[in-house]
Amino acid sequence: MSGEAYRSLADGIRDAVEAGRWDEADADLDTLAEEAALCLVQDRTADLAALAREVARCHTALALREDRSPEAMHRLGQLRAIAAMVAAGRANRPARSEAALAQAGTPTAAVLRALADGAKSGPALVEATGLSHDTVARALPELRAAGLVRSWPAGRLVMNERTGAAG
Amino acid sequence: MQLADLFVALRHQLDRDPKETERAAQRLEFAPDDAGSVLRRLAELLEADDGADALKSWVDTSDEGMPLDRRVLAAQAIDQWFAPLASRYLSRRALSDGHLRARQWYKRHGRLNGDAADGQLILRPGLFDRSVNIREVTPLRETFDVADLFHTLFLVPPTLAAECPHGEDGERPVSLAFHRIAEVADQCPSDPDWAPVVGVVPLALAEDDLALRTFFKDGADWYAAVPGDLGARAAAAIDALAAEGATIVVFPEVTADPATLDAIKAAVRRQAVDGPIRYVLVGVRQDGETDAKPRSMAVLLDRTGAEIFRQTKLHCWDLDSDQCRSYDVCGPDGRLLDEAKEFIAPGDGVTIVELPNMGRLAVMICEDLGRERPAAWLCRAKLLDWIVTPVMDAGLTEERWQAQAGDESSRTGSCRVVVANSMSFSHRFNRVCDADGEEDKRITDCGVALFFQPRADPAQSSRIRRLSLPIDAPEPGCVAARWEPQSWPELNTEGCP
Repeated sequence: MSGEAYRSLADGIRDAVEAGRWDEADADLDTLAEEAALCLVQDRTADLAALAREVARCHTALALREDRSPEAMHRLGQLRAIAAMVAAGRANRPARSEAALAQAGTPTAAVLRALADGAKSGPALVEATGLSHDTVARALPELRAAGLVRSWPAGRLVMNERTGAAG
Repeated sequence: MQLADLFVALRHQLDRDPKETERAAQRLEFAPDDAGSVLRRLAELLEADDGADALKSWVDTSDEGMPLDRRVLAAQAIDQWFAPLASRYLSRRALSDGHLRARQWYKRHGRLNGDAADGQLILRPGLFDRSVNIREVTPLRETFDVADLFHTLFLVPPTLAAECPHGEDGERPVSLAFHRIAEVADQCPSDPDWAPVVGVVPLALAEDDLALRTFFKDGADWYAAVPGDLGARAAAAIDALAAEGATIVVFPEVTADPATLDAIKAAVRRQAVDGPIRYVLVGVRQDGETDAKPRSMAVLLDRTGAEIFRQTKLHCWDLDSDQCRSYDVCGPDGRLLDEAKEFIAPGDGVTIVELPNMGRLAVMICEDLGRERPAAWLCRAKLLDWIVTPVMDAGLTEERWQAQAGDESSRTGSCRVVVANSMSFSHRFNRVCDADGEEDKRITDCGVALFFQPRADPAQSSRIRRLSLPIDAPEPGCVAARWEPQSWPELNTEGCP
């Protein structure tokens, strides 16, 4: 999907609300919601980013208008709800598949390999893998979300171990 | 009983004797597998609707381990229960009803606990840390802090004891408040690869743009910084930075009066729809009512120019004789002053905001950055993504106090720090250099912004970016840079004054 198409769709909503053409505004909001849902399901991150920009732009333009009529506010609220859904989809990511995370040469695979001989704390994993602190800190949350690593606190340390799911 | 309220109660118990709590933590660190085994059972307990009551009963009545160890484990089990709410990555399982209710409460009230008088129990990681949790891979700190037993939750107390102004004896309470801002977002600060553009407008480019008025009152010499009418310049800078793609724009301390602030709001609003600017932080001098002292404030604006919050500088910058000499601070009779107190009414509160387009941010105005409370305390809490510091000082360098304080805050807090300065004091400094025949010390390339990026590895240095303008030709009067620390030089603050 091109950014121009999203700009055109958002401008269509803006024009319709500004002109009080409520049926057109509602139709375009439906289209926008369907496209947002499709982007989320298909995990099209670049399109989600483009959609977020256009929704925020359109929302800002309409929010700055003097028109506070119930009809206009109703559409502004719908736009906000779609924006919230898109933002949630961008802020929260699904973990990659087990195959991708275990692929040789990746930091996540190195962490899994380091855990093969038993549970380790975060600093111990940095030492065992030879990876940077940043890299290990990025790998662990995704491995946990994928169900490949289980973690628990022991005092101030966080211990990590492979789960049965991690081959 | 709600889980969050049980956590707060347990947290208070653990705070009563930190030494004993430290010993309990060490026992658990010594036997991590045993801790894991207990925590797995407690997690199962918490899956039931009456989990909080069952957990409390286990703490109070079980004969397993020592009572203090049980309190630590129970609080850690609750901390783990909330973890799915603080992760960027979605878990494979659906959230439970309890988790959904907790999220609803958190978004409504800005806290997980029930009673605000206990403080605000918040999710500890800022938006950035939700995908890159640095804390768990760095070595343990030498000093023990009960808060470090928990990775998901942090209890923000209602107040902290801070220093009194002008070196007066005793302490005074400063309130802490956490606010989640609900707004439409198109930035994604939880994405580790997100790289915003930060713009800085020094605004006071000449000495007269920020006049220093001095007077004698109540047995002491005082100074007050008074900005000129700089609205048109500020508006032009907003336009220029919008053209450069700035995500956030920072104006230094007390460079704007209320009229200039209005001009900035109007300029931001003009850029609202098609421009890139999402937030603007303005250092404002606000007159007091009748005879009251003025305030040095920071005002945060959203993309439409609407105010999000205001915060008043907490600590005064009282000048000693060397500083009076360096900046040529003279009394009304032309006499060089031995010392001069800053004539402002200090603030009594700090706001932490979570901004959908920027992350979690706190403002520390000039002197506030280098103080123990709340600045250093907040940094140790490691819950911020950004600290923004508007200052009024001579040109920023990698060697002066701002570099040391910025680096310390950035490293301790694992957060990004932005320092923004005006150019007025640099002209004063240069005037003194000229009078003393020390032309070699003149500031020519005037530092107006310092950006700090912490390094996760304690053995490595922070990264720093310094932005400057030629002091004799500062046009266009603004600077901006994308947050790309991988290309910035390393900072060495050894020997900083």
